[in-house]
Amino acid sequence: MSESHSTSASPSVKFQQLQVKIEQNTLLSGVDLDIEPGCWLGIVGPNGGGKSTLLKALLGLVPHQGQIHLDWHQGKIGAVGYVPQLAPFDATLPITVLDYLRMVSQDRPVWLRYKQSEKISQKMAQFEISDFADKRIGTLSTGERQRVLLCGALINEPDILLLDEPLAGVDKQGHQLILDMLSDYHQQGNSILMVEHHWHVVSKYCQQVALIDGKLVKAGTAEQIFRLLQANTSPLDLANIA
Amino acid sequence: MLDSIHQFFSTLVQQAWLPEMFSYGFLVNAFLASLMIGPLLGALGTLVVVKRLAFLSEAVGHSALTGVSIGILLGEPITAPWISLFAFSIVFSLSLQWVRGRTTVPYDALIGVFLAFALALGAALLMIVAKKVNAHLVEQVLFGSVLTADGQDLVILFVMFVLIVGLAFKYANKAYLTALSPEIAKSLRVNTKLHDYGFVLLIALMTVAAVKIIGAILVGALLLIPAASARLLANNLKTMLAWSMLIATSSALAGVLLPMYMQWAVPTGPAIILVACVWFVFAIANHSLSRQRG
Repeated sequence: MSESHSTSASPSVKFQQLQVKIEQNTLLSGVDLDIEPGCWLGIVGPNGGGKSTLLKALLGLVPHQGQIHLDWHQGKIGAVGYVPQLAPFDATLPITVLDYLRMVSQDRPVWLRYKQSEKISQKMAQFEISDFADKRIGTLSTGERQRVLLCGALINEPDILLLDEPLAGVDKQGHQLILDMLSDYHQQGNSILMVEHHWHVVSKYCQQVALIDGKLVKAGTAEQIFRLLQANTSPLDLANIA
Repeated sequence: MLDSIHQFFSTLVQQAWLPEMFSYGFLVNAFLASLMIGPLLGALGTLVVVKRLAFLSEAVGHSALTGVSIGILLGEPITAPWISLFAFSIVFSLSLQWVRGRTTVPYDALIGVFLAFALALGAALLMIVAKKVNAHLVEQVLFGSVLTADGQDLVILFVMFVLIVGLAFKYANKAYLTALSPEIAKSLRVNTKLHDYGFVLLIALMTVAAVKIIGAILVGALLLIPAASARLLANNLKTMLAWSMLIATSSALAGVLLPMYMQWAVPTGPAIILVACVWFVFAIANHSLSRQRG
């Protein structure tokens, strides 16, 4: 189903009978899903269906039952990049974009500024965020913040990228910039797992799509999922799901 | 070593480079203690502010009060009940963190419960302690005193200074990222749980180390006020840290030296915090002016 790349160091990901229960609420149950290395997976489904929870379970952010296997290339554990859904930052905190990128990408304390990192400068230029390097991260617009978070997620050259609605609140120009960056990243053989509501994005970019609604309803190509949705869902529900 | 330092200060006094009060050993001790307490509380305070845990520093400070009372009741030296002080504050902080991980009660409410417990127990024990020892000594514990810092206190502070500076160089970025976004930190394989435990432990240790100069009631305030002021004055993390350390250190020094120099009968703790509050007013005024200028 997915296209594998010879240069990929991405892991294969396998969910087996995944269940996530918080207090008395079951958010996900019985999820069995295989994701091959180098796959761009779109995760779609209704609000509250457990899409974000699936990513959080993979990251160990929520307790879960069942198995999650990450089978790394030659057993060497690689890096993971993550962009959470609409991460709020306090606008009154004097933490700048540059501070944030230093935090995520280097061990040298953020307050020691004796050398400007080439890596950070290059990435900021790629994401067109150099102009607001000294702006407080909490004061950025949603679109700017998503670009900063994505830049932070990619700066360590992760082998797999987990994105929770990376295009939410981003304007059309920003959409294309982000999607181009993601395409480049994927072309290098890396995996992307992306929760996304924009169906045109999913259908154009994702090789595999998982429809989640408290469980895995179906995994397949975008076309297969869309056909299933058309056959079983009213236009209103369809708009809500994708 | 400490004698040599005292000697050095006496020489400076004899040569009229320093005021007469520096010929007193206890004042030199308090001065040295302030030089270590200020930067450490200032730096840790920035994490308190980023984590929005102002209330935590208050709670841990008040737990020191209980620790002192327990120590005196158990027969430890009245001016140095270190074992009980460290033990109770550490147990208090780690219990708070442990319970936090096992309940859905919001963290601020949980800290409130722990704070109330520490205050209630501390107050109850203090009443018993006050019957056994000179009430003036209890006052020193509550509000700090310039008289109490001795060589042992300075050694403890120096160990804390080296420990925290070492940890800051190694883990500062991870600590700030954990404070800013635990989810992103965790995705980068930062052990956020360990950082959270380490943070409350450092707050407890630093509170205990500073309690003799500032006092149990107000020690939490020196974690909070300089960092809260720095937040208003700074443009980035580096300048926030610098402002916070500057404000905490200058407040600690002024709070120790000014009452002595002016011969005011004010305990060091309130004096330090009042100076810090002057900084806070300055920070608010500066911030308001900057906003008006646009």
